[in-house]
Amino acid sequence: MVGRWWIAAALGLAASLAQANDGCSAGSEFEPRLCPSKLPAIKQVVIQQNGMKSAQETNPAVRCDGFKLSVRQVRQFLARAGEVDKQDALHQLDWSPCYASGEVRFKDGRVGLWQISQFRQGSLRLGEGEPVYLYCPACRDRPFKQP
Amino acid sequence: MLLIDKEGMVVNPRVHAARATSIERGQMKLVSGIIVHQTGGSTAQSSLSSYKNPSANGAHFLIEKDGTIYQTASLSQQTWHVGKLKARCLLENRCTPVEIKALKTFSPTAENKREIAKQAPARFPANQDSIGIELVGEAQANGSYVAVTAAQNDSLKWLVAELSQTLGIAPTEVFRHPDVSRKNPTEASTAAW
Repeated sequence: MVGRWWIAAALGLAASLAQANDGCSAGSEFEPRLCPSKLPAIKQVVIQQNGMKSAQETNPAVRCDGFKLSVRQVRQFLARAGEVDKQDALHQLDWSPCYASGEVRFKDGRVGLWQISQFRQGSLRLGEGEPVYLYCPACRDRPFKQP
Repeated sequence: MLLIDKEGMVVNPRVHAARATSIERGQMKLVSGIIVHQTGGSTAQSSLSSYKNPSANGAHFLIEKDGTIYQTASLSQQTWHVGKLKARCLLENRCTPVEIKALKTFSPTAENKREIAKQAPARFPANQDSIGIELVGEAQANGSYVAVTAAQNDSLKWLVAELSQTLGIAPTEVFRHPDVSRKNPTEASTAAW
């Protein structure tokens, strides 16, 4: 009986170590599995749209003019956010109608288009293809505090 | 009336078994409702491939654009397809003064926690007691989801009717994903059942 307990404990430890090795969090029912974004160092951030309301939000009472990010806050978001799977971003994370967007230049020469929403979810498109989905639970500056 | 085997899989020629145990998250003892989603991808194959990932999330059924129905999880298992619940009382104008006071401090996490503590139908169906149906459909460049196809709506109508009859789900307990949690309002907005 004790032997079986040790085997189960060892298997559990091995599983958690395997999870830790890829640097990703385990995730839970309401928090997605978060993986390091591995983005290069940022050279420049340009904000093109701020305090925007998504065209998908048809409720006229919803206002987004209070959601305005500074360049510093965008830099912090991109630096602190982790990558989430697209399915998790759609199923687990809250969608917000309020967003900001713009361009980011990385020190390795790459250029990306970013979008960040009020509920700390974002995306980054580098070239063609699917964007990278981002989530920054640690971003708690005033604009990310709710309406 | 659907025939459901002891593994929780539907036995019917219209439903193709494509069970991915990786998206199953523990026993579902009771089914209170159905939540209709759109995947965000353009093919069923992209969803089925993603379900092979051990940490993947998905729903119980997946309906391809041509109307093909796949069952991707057992009906006796939960899947994490809903996200944080919105307060149902707010949408139905029946919140108590205590609930209204609590809702004045905006916190989706706290709101969800209070909702989960209730029993359906006082709250919306949640991961623990709802069946998720995914309709294959991508978000377009403008952010809106593509329209659900006629073939998908035919299959959805049949599946919702059969599941409702078999499991005793009231018509009032079938929702689009953005009705129950904070999601892009265009998700499944063209779904009809």
